[in-house]
Amino acid sequence: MLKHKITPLFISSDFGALFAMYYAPIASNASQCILHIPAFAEEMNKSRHMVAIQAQAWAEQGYSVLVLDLWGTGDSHGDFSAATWDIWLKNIDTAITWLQDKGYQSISLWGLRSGVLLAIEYIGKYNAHIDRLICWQPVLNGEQFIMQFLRLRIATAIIDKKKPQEQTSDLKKQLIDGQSVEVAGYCLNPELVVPMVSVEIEEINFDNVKQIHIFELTLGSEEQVRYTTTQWIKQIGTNASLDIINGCSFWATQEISESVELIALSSKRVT
Amino acid sequence: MSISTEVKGVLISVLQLKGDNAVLLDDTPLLGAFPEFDSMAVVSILTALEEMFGFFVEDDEIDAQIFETVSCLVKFIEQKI
Repeated sequence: MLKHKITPLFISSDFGALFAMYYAPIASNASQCILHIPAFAEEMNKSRHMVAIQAQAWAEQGYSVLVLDLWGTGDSHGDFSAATWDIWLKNIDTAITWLQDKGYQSISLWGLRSGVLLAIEYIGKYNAHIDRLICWQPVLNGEQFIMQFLRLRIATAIIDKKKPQEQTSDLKKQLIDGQSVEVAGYCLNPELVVPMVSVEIEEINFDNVKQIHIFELTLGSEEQVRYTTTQWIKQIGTNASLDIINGCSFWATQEISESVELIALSSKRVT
Repeated sequence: MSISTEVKGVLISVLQLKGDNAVLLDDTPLLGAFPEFDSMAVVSILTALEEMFGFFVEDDEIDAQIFETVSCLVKFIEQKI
């Protein structure tokens, strides 16, 4: 029998209601909660399955988990084209306050892809005291991430020759000049993208975070750590752990996929 | 492991190919041959290859030609590294 229950709920915020899935152990004296910060756009949709499995695994271990839909995404209020980086940071704060009101003394952040970048910015800007920061395939360079996202428009043009040939650098300039850019059905707000591109993780102090767990998936035959991750670990020092897992990029695969090994290791590290 | 084997591994994983589809030969056609091969797949494959081999693909290099067959993609990578 399951030792946890799952409740869909809405959390009220200054910007409208935020949807969340709340996984809570039934023996409800859990004092620790993990807040999930999702991936970006299509990556969020593709990874819902993995996020749900991990949330249930932790809930079975006695942790509560709150999986939040950021404003303008999923079932939360708002339109994606109006979402800004600042609203998303405030969403995290709203969720943390909600958890503190529920009596949780220890709160951890669990980010996926660009969700990690958002969590890092939150820690820096709000001087937040976080128990653990759990990072799944972290995006640590917002600029590189956005350039890869803008590439979707370039890639569409090679498949559909009628589409104009464009350059990612021109699209980026449009955003910096304050214009929205539509990519793969997502209308990017400059106020979302420009601050994301400008996050400087080396400026952020992680003294208020007790532990940082990093998990990376690699497709290669050799275990390769990405350069940005290596640099970040040097910066944060001894309270970081890194696990490299051989597995597919479930946030980007064409069909929904899972990495059992990532779930097993994440569940083992966070105990 | 050869570049060709690594590239096939990336294609199988990103496109989630199974069974007969997962048998990729050097002359297996890609773009237009697999329904899974859309713009999202092109970007995921390029990103995975960049991370694996440590090169960077410029916008004007993203061309339908490099995705024609498995060996076209392998040749492209060989001249990048």
